[in-house]
Amino acid sequence: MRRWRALPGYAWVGFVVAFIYAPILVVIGASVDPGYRISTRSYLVFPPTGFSLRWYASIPSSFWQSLWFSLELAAIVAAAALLIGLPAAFGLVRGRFPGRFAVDALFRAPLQIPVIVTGVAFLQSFYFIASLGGPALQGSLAGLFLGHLFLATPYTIGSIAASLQRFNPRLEEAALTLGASRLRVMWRVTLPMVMPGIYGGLLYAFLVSFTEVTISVFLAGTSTKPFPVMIFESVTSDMEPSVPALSTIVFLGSMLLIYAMQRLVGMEALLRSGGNST
Amino acid sequence: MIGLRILAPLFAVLLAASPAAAQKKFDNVTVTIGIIGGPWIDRVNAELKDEMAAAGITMKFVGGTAQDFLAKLIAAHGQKFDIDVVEIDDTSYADFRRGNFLAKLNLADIPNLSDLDHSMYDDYKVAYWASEPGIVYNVDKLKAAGVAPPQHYSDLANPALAGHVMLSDINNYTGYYEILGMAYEHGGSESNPQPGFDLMSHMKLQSFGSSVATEIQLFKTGDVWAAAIPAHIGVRMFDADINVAAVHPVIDGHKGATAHGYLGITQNRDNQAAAEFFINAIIAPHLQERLYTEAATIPINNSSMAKVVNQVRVDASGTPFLQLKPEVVAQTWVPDFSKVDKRNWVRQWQRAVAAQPQ
Amino acid sequence: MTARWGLFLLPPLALTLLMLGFTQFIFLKSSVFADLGLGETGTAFTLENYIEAVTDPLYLNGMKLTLELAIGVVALTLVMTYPVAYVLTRMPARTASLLLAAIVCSSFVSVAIKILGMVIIFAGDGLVSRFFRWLGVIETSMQLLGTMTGVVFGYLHLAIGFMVMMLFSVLQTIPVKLEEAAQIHGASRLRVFWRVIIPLSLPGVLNAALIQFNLLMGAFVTATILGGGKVLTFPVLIQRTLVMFNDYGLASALSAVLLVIVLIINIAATAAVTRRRVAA
Repeated sequence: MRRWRALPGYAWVGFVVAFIYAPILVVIGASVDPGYRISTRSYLVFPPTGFSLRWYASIPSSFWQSLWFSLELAAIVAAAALLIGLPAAFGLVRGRFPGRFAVDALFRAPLQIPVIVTGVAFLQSFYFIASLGGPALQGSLAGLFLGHLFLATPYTIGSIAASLQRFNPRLEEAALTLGASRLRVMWRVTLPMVMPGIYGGLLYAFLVSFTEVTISVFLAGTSTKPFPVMIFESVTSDMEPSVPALSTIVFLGSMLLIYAMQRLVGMEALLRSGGNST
Repeated sequence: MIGLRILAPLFAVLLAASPAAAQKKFDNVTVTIGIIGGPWIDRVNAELKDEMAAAGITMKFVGGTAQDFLAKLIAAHGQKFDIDVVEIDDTSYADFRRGNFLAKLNLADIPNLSDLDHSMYDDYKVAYWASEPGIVYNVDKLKAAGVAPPQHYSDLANPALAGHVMLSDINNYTGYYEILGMAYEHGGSESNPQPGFDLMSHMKLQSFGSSVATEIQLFKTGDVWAAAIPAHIGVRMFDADINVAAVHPVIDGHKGATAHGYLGITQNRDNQAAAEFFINAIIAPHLQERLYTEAATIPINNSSMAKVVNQVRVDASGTPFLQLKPEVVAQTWVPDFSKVDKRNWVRQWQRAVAAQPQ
Repeated sequence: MTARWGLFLLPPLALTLLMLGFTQFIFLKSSVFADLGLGETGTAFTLENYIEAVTDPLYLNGMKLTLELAIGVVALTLVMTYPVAYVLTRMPARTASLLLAAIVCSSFVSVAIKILGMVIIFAGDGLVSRFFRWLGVIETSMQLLGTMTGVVFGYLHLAIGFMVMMLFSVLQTIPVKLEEAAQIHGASRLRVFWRVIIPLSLPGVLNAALIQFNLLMGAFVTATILGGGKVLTFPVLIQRTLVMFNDYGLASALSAVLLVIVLIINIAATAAVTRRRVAA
């Protein structure tokens, strides 16, 4: 009996998922269209008029390089966001001092500033630093790293903090009472319990950096162009015909990544701690 | 003694011709080139790769419009800029010069200039492609709607076409031509474009086109029936099986308009010679003709122009898309962009857009 | 022991303060100098950029448009995704995690290419248009591209995935037992929903809504591509001021105005929720 009542809910979920996936399916479909002569390559054909993998074989090396660059950048950003987020989350959740609310708000602030404003601000700051004789950060990997890190850190802090809040400190106290050293408690009790939060934070940070367009458009250089910027420029000028193919490859790659995470840590645990829930 | 005098130069000549002297012209130099992005770069790269490699030059490409590169140069605030060769267009050239962003070219190092008309280059820029801003419309759609083919830019304001007209966006050079065209048709000019903006603010447009990709896409889906875009995009659409035709409106007594894309070299380059070598290669007939065949842009060198007149692309009714006869091209309209107040222009544009019916 | 945890905060705090403070200071600094064209700035302190930013109807309309879009899309997204998140939390874990994984994967596809896909779906002869025509809702082809409606649809696509993930983690915290307890006491399912679940999830939901709102107030990619140059939202205006005018002073002033408005809304919303919590 209860199953029937659940039907409208399930139907709605199905509809929303279909809604999200519609454009993606169009892109995947367009990626296998054989296409005409050279001069007509520049638009998407859907439904595909045939089946061909030619676009998969003709992806320019500049796009592969840019994809690799984005993957590396996202990995570094995620790692750095974790390094900053872990102590920050612990301090935020466990610490007892006046002004905790203000610190919490400060850590969230990067997400409150409109992304475009952040882009403009960072760009101008980089020029200022360069004009003072410092390193030229605009258009460099370091500059992009800083911009992405700024956006990604609130996610890792939020994710780990949420996981930590759920964790009962009495478990730690119990272990301490039983004679374990502080370090051992941290390693054997605390850290495993916040692992979902850590993985969640890493995933969010990686996703934020990998898909970030707005800031990247401002801070990208000629040889340091993140993948989303390549796609954005392609869509807004003369379309590179193998873009749908490459996007499909990225999509399939993300499925592999998520599958790997599922095996490592389990999605439910991952998302249970995700986001900012303070 | 006399023998030596004769033999020495002879030896020198022999030495120069020997294999040892067949070194590369440049010692592994990289030239970074900023031109229109997408398949355009692929074409240039494919055609020139071997020639550049043989000369010891590696090409690196960055995609963007002239406006993008100007913005980047301004943003660099005089510090080290990483692009050697930049795309320039008629609308931005004055700003490029005013900002002192361009280096003086050694025209003697660009021998292929001999094949170009003097109007195509000066000490700071060299033309490398040409297009003809005008109107492109879908023959079938207009017929079905019972609308006569547009002859003037103002015809695009026809209420029967409302919601199916596209004008070029202002982030591209073509955005200026349609406004100026409409202004001229109503007694305005480069220094008084307001009549053009007034007309635009009353038009119910489908959208503003800023990329070839979406322009072709929207014609293909039937959302757009007529657009103020360059005629060569009409050729690309025709190849995509859309039954289009092109119109070259008469502006100020000139039939049709011609716009050029140029290349210039940025200041303080230590590879300026290699950059000039590249520019020389890009204006060579074989590349110019390839660009015509694949992108339908018009060559800028005389020998290629003479050749492509015999390879004219026509629409379904047999009318050529592009005006290719040199005497016709010579009388086309070229706006005087020095009279355009750019700051005010952009503001007027945005106001006109905001005032449009949704 | 607890005081020591606070010390962990110092390095991240210092870094955040530095990045935040420095960048904001620099860009605000450039907003009070006149732009002389081609990147040259004046040396005298002036408020002309701000005056233009707040008095020119172009920017006022742009702000109004942006706010309407952001609030509208957030509201619409909430209505659409709240039931989805709820159903997911009450679903068997395996199916739920599969669907969530699908949603996460969809976020990896670049926004620009997704929009191109949308262009096709929403095109005049596309599926959506044909569907509505078949329904008899409209006569001619649907004009979504280059309209506010199209931009709303575009934003919806991008906001839904993110919102589902956030709402899922919020609703996860409400134990099923609580629902069951209320039902045992005789409350109908709807009443349980209205009186128990929604109020409990409100702070988390509002937090998610606020994050989404902030993201939308700053986004310009979707409006640029789907808006077809006609939908001039504030971020689009800022980006154009930077790239087409090269007017850094005005762009900074506009950015400052945007920032202030966003912050005010954030503070007001958070305060409203906190007061509600305290009152309840």
